[in-house]
Amino acid sequence: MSTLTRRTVLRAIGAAGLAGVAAAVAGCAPTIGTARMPRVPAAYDGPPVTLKFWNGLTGGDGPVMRTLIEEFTREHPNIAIDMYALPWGDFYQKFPAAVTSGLAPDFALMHNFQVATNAARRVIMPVDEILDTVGLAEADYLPVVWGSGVYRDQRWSLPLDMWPDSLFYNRRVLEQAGLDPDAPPTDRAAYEHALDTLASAGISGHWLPAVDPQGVGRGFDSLLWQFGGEHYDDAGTAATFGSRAGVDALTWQQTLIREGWSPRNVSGSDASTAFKNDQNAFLWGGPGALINDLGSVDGLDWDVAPLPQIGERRAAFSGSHQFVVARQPRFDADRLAAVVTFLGWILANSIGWATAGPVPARLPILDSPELAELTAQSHVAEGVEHIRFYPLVPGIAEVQTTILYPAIGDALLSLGDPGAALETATTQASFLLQENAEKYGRA
Amino acid sequence: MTATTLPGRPADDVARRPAEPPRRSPGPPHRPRPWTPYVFLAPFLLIFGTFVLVPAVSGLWMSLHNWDFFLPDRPFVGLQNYIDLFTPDALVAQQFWESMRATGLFVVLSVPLLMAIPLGLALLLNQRFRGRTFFRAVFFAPYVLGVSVIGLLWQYLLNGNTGLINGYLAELGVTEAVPWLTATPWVWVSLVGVTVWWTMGFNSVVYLAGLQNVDDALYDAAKVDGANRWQQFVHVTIPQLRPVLLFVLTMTVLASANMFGQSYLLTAGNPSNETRTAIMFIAEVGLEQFRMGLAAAMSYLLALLLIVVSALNFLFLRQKES
Repeated sequence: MSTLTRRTVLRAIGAAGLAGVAAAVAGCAPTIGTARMPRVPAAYDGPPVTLKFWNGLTGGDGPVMRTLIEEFTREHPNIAIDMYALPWGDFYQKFPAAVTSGLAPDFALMHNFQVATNAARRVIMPVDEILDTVGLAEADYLPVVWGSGVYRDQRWSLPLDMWPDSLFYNRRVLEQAGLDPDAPPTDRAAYEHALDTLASAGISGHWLPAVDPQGVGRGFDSLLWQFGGEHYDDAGTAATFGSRAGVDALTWQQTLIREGWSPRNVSGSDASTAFKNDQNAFLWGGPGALINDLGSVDGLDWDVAPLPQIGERRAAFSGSHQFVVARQPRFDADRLAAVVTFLGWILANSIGWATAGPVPARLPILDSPELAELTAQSHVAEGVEHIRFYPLVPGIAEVQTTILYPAIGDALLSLGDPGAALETATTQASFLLQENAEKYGRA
Repeated sequence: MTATTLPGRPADDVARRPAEPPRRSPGPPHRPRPWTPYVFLAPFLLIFGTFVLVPAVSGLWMSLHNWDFFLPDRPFVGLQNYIDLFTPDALVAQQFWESMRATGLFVVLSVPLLMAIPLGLALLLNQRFRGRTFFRAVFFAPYVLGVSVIGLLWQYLLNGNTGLINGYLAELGVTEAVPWLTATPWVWVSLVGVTVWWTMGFNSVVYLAGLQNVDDALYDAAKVDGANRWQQFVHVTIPQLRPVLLFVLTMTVLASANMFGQSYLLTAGNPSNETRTAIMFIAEVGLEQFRMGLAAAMSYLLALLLIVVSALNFLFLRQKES
């Protein structure tokens, strides 16, 4: 007679469950390849290959990249490129997961402030060796951009573009208030004067988002740097944005609301809706999102200039899209050669990318007559020498978006004490930074 | 599980078929083998094991480590993640209990409304009147929409500066814009209001099914005894609906305690993380900051709490029955 009882079966299921867990635990341990990249020529002429390229270009920038890829494939018929675009938030979760499970794409595009994180996670490759082959030279880049791919003495990424926060202004609104639409304010006195003039004409001139995380945080970032502050200490283990400079920056932002230059409780979408409907004069934002967005509104009369200097010096938050080579369990020399061929081609042809909004990172292209023809982009380019990037600390993007930005948003909603708000955020950020340093330091 | 399919009770079968010769293995085709039920259960067990059992146990394992999926080194930290959540000065403890408070507040504010309003609605929709089916469909309609649709829709309606509702209020003479999504208590009014509008149709349908199962003879008997409408409701409808009430209460508490999408999309936790619910905080810690061990520990605490609450529901409503 069978001795199969309910208890035995339950026990068996339990054991199977545990075994499954053990297998899952063992199975999902990252298989960090020790594979090295083979040496490859600058131009690939082997059999046809299809490369996999991942990025977060899901907006108006996606079609621009696809057009460039088509153009590249026309010139290099033996290299096809499969581009997979997913929202950036998903990208940063799925890209490392794909690499650790051996399903990595060949190369990808990511934000400069995510490069150190992914380098520490060892899901991307150092690219020092292919630098010359791709044709990158230090003299062609601003120091801040050139340095932005270097982490632990190795280069991990190749900068494609820059998108400095800039001052977008509604010319019609300025004109109607009696201001010169051809001379947007460049310093604090002029900016506040313009806002006063607009206020007396019944217009809130600078709708300051208190809810949209990007809008709030990056405005504060620029101001913090303008007032002479830094977000973090050199080691990247303690937050310093609660310094005098930080308090000054946040106080000035609150002044915008207190003086009635901005309505209260503004969200990121409110500010741009108001701008597009001639109810708002100034928007601080990046060219990647705004140039094509504003350009698509019929009858809107707008232009863009570098951010005004509110603090003691000029500075503007900027990001940069950078190419990275994904780590493979084993590198195929043909595929890598094809990747290098594409990267060399697109970095030399990044003027085509400028129509998406961001300006090319390579200075000779930035100064080219082709860029001058793109009015908005060339105005954005006037401010690039003052751009600032987040420091190269692994996990930095999460510290910004989950701690600093919400704190700024709160202070702008409640108009509470800026010093106290930043102090709390400093404690929280320093705690997470130390935890990150320990976590990524072990890797 | 039925007794006849279980081994250990062969006597019944033998008694039923006395003429049969001693059984050989392979037995008669209609005699289930001892493992037959488990084979039938296997497809479900496989799915249950893969998507519930293994994740649940591996989550427990994870919560004992400083776990980042993408890093090779995941040191064992024992109960430290749990201890951190109960250390009053620890930052993460403050944030976690703040988010638990938000979840608790939402449950307390939304559950009574989601119990009472759908019941009233079901009583109305149970009457006979023209267009009854139409109204049943209308009240159920929002429930079929996804949370992202709801979020986007109400974002447009409730936006403080450019929203439709404030626009109409301004035309009615309300001069001050109501900060529906950015200040207390309005955030709670918005979140609870949206949730009630969205999910009351489901609870109504469950109540309606329950109401249709109440024996008309009981109402007739109550009428004979001289009970008015209210007395009929209290002494016939409510007791008859008790199992349905228990079901609706349990499901509503669990659904409200798992609230995520509404506050994620509408208020983003504003103001001052006041509306950042437990699930939202867990997602932020686990999937944005990649502190997965800590997030797993928080999930277990939340799950434990919900089990206790559900058990209390059952105890409470069962005691009344006896």
